[in-house]
Order: sequence, then C-alpha cells, then structure tokens
Amino acid sequence: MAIEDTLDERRAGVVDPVTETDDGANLLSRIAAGNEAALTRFYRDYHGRVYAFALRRLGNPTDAAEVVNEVMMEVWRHAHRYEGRAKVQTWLLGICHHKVIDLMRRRGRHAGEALEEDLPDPQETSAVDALAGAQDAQMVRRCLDELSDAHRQVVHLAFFEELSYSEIATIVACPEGTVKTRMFHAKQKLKHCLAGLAAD
Amino acid sequence: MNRPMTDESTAHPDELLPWYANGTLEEPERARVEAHLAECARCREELSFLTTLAASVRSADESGAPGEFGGEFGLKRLLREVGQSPPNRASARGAHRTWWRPALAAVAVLVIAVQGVVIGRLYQQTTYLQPLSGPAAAAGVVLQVRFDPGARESDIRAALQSVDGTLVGGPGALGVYRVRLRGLADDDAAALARRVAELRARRGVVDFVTED
Repeated sequence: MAIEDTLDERRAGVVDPVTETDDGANLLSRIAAGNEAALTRFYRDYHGRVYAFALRRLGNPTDAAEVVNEVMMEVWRHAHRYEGRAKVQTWLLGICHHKVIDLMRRRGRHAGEALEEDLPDPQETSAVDALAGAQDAQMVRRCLDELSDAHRQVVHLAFFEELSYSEIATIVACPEGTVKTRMFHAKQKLKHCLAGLAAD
Repeated sequence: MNRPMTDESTAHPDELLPWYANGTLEEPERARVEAHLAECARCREELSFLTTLAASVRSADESGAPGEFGGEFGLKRLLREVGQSPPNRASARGAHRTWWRPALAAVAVLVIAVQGVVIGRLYQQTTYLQPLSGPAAAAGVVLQVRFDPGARESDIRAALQSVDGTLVGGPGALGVYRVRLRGLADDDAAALARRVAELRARRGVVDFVTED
C-alpha cells in the first residue's frame, strides 16, 4: 500500500490493521504514516537479525541492544526514506552498520580497516585440516572473535544473513571487489585458526 | 600477497566460492564455478569447507540471539521512546504534492550538465599548472556522508565548502555520498575531527558522517 493511500485512510478514519501478509516494505509504508502497530510487527520480525549483526560486530550484548533501539528509532523517524531499491533486510542492516560505527566511536573504538596481511597460500592450510575445526561451533566462534571487524562483518553477512556480495557492498558502503577480497582473507585466517585449534 | 590466479579459464574461483556456497551467486558466474567444480577436486574440498563453515557460523551467531524476554523488553523501551518522538513524515506529506518533482529533476539534470562543462573547463585550465613530474595523486581523507532528504542544494554546497570538501562518489542505494576533504594530511586527526564536527553540527542538512 502506498504511503498516500495509508494517510488518506487514516484521515477518513478507516481502520487499517496490520495483517499477517504485510511484508517488510508494506510495514515501512505504514510506519511512515505513524502506525505503531506496524512498528511493533516490524520490530518483532527484524530485531533478531539487527541484534545478531550488532553483537557480532561489538561483542557486547548491552551495546548490541542499544544499537537495536537506535536502529528501530531511525526506522520510526525515517521509514519514508525506504525507496524499495534494496531489500528491506539490506536497507536495515545498512542503518545498523552506520549505528555500530557511531557507537564504536562513542566508545573510543576504531572501526578500522582490515589488515590484508600475507598468510601462507590456502593450499598450504588444507581445507580438510580446517574442516575438523569448522564442525565445532565453539571453535568457529573463537576464531571469528579473532578476526578484524571488517572481516567479521563480511563473514556474518555472507553466512548468517546469506547475502550476495553486491548486497553486502551496499550495506557496508564499499566496492564489490573489496567485499570479495575481505572474504578471501577472512577465510584464510579462519582456516589457519581452525586448523591450529583442531591440531591442539 | 597470495591471491587467486587471474586467468579465468584456469584459475580457482576462490573469490566466488563463498557466494556459491551461500546460494546467492548469479549467472554467468554460477555456471563458471559449477564447470570448474566438475573438474577440480581442490575446489570441491574448498566448497565442502565453506559449507561446513557457513553452518557453524549460523549456529554460532544464532546462539547469541536476544531471546524472547530480551526482545520484548527492547520493544517496550522502543514504544516508550516512540511515544515521545513522532515520525518525520515530511516525505509522506510531500507525496500529495508531487507536481514539482519532474521540474526539479529537469533542473537537476541541467545543473549537473552545466557543472560538467564548468568542471571540464576548470580541469583543462588547471592541467597547465601541473608540475613537470606529472599530476599529483588525489590526496585527502574521504568521508561517507548522507544528506537530509529535505536539505536544499545551497545548504549542501555551504556544508561542503565549510570543510573544503568535494563529492567524489555516490549516492549508493542507501543515499550515502563519498566526500573528499582537500588540504588535509592523512595523519592530522585533530583537523579531521574538527571538519567532521563541522558537518555533524549542520542538523537538517547532514544526516550522517563517518570516515570511508
């Protein structure tokens, strides 16, 4: 439903309940018209993935919850800015990305670029060796924590959110080639870390 | 640096395999990866690793979910704050008065075209002033900036001039522009902070600023 239709119905006093079939884009149209029920539904549908992305970046549940609140307030105030050019998930995680950077600055942390340091060729760190570690979620969590923020965010968006490299580039506002390069280096580092833990 | 080979006919598609593993790779890259996988045991092993890694990442990150209680607690806080802060409906109200948009778009195209000609002429003039060693590399810090949708062109221009900034990219799908700050040394953090603060102070014009 278009924003102007929603406004017309509200002016006319027509009841416009949020329905189960409302998708994210419909909910944003209703939120833009000041519909709190739509915001409640939007929050319930999307807060989990915003929280997961923020937590993976910040490593602190309190900070992650703070980011969720800031993101959802941004949605409430500026839902009309969603133009449908990107998926709702991509638009929302883009807002989350910027809020995480803002919070890191407030906390005096640097959102820093990934250091693309040389590691031995992946062929020297066998995928088979690393596979044993990758099957253990505890080891994966430990190795993810050792990655830089730039590497962690790409791994999370690719494997948790299952986004394409072009969608990830939109969210973190960088060229697609940079996303591929970050993933390449993140994978190398994870392999090394997992193979090392599996060998211990 | 160890990077994948670049000859597409023989190279291992290392940079594409993660997106083949998560099912988002589109044609023709998908077909190229599948053809390569049919012939390459090393890449099949790599794909197996990535698939296992993806499942473990999902498991690791799902374990940090806020939970039912945390989510509802956050929702109550949100609704309390929402009650004190009405949504910005500037664009929604504007949707009823859209007659000016085609005219504005035409003016914008005209402005961009004129700017292109002016900038082109300036560039032609300044190339005569380049040192004999050749053109200098573009210098300065680059910021990501999102402007308020209601900001006027004159306000945006004034904001950019106040920090000696120039647009070098964007807008992206999220409306973010890249702004290069001229005359700023890479290591002059204090000067950078002052210029970022100058932009952030322009409420109603500048919506968001961060380093690129």
